[in-house]
Amino acid sequence: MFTGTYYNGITSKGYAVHITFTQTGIKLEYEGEHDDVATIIWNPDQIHKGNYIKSHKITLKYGESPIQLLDIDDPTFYPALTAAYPDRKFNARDFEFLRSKGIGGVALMGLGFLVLMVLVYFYVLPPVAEFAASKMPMDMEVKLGDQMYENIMAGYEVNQPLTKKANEYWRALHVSSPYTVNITVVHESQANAFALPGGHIVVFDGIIHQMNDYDELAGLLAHEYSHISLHHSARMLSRNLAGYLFISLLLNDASGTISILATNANSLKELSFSRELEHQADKGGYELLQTAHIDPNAMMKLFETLKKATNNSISIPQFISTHPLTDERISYIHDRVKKDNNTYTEDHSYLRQIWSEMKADD
Amino acid sequence: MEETNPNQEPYRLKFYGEGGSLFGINIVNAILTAISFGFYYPWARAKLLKYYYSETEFAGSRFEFLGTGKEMFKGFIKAMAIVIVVYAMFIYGAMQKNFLFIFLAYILIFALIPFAIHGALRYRLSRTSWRGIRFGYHGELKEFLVLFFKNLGLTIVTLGIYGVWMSVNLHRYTQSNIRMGNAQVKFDANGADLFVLNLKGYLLSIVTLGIYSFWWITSIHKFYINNTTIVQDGNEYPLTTHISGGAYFKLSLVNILIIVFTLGIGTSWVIVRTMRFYIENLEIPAGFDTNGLVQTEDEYKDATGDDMLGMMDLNLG
Repeated sequence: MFTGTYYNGITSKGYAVHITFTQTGIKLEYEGEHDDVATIIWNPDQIHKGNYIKSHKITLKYGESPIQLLDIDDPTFYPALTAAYPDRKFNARDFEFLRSKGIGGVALMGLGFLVLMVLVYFYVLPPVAEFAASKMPMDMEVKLGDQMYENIMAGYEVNQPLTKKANEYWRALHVSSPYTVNITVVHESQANAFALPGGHIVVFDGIIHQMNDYDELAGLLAHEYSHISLHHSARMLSRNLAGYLFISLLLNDASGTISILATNANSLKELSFSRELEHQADKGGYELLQTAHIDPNAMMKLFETLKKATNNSISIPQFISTHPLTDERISYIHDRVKKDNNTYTEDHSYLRQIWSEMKADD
Repeated sequence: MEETNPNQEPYRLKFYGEGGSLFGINIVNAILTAISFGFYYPWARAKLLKYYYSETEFAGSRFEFLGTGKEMFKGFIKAMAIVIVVYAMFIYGAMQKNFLFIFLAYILIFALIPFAIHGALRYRLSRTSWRGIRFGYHGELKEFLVLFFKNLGLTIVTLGIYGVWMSVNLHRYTQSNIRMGNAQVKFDANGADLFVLNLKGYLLSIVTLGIYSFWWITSIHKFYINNTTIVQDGNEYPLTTHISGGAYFKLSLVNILIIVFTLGIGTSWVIVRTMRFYIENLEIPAGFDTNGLVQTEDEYKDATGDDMLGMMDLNLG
């Protein structure tokens, strides 16, 4: 026999009850209004669990409107109840499936989930995101690029004379392109340049300052342009964005995603392309120089300049940190220059003239 | 039969929550929410509310949260749809440089706040019970909207100064429409008093390099609690809170140390400490008849507001 407090669901008055388990149900007996004993039988099928506090203090509920309550504060009550009425609704506990696996099983499942999510993040998400980016219509890519360009430019001061000359220089290369290429030179002492989706190339005047020969600029622009024509920027952006979205979805941080959407435009210049993408851009740039009848050895000269810039300054120029200059990249260009044995006779006097004007302005 | 308050001592609420148990709930909730990409959120919230309620005791009986994840899921979906619309407006506005859209999105957010408050109160209180007696919210949406926008308008016109009166007016309306069975909550206070509290708090906080802010926050909490009464059978039972600025300062200091030294893992313990601080300092006069509450509230189900409030990080306290 157990004791508890019974509430009839009509008032907040509690009745001290004696509880016995019978064949027909739980019998509750309490002193009535007129010194008589009131008896209530709870059909076990209509009992549901109320508050369930640390397995010794338990509230059972009974029926529908009014819902009656029974509070029992006795650690032996719950085991006795489940023994008397097995397989009832009120015996069901939350996460029974998880409980049956034990703490080790749950930990293992958690770990498995974590590993799965890591694998998805590194191996499934990037190709999916890049595929999505490759399906992006060109006008959307251009629009996106324009949007990012506006955001990024807020942080820079444009070098007007060099911008004008650099665009003249680009036009003189006569590259046929589905994109309208727009080059912007900005005042920035570091040796860096980056390409935005859809046609914008941003060049820091620091890198122009460190170049020695006119065709190095052709090499640089050809390389950056290849990033654009191969949709690298859009692909990387999509990849990063998908990564952020995935993580914030896991952490349920929807508002965080929005702020990332807003700030991601600015972080593009920090995006580092993979070795493979850099290699592709080198290859594309190399072939672009060939088409323009410029000695692709210019790429080698550009690499030398960048290497020297690395040696001269304590900090690694951003161009190298975001476009990692690896030995493979250098040897690829080196080998191709040797193999192709390009011989071009044009002296590119117009390009040289623009270049010398740029250097004079610099 | 149980004796009605034999000692004639005022009632104090008790909070039995423990950091360890809450931590367990939070971990399971976090994992399940992550696995389900957020869709478990309403069930997680229900689990959490059930825990908080069931560990809170008044006159020997625990509270119970009757809401379920399933109920709140419907509200969650509605709230998500609204949030997506608002975000879409923000993103579209930003992409197109169309500031009208961004402005409209802000207007929409403001317009949704009273709906969210109203919905949350209605749902939450209808799902709160004690000794089987359900709570309820009797506020009218139309009345509340009029009150909200009138006060918002005045706040904008006065460049925010009226905001103090606005919060008192909204609190008066919402609190005074809370029912606990046949008992009723009543709040009445003067906005000017809160304004003076804020002015004093602001100035002293500056002078004391922020240290007074603990006393300031405490004074605001006391203002709201100590102007609240429970009306039962025509008798008024004013609530009192015994928190003090010094105690709040100590609580906050230890909380910060716990968070810092456990690298955030101790957050569950901090939540429990804070809840205990507020709950156990609350006092209800001895005369209140704990056996005299009568069931009056019908059942009600619509959970949009409850989730929206959570998502918009508005805290009703």
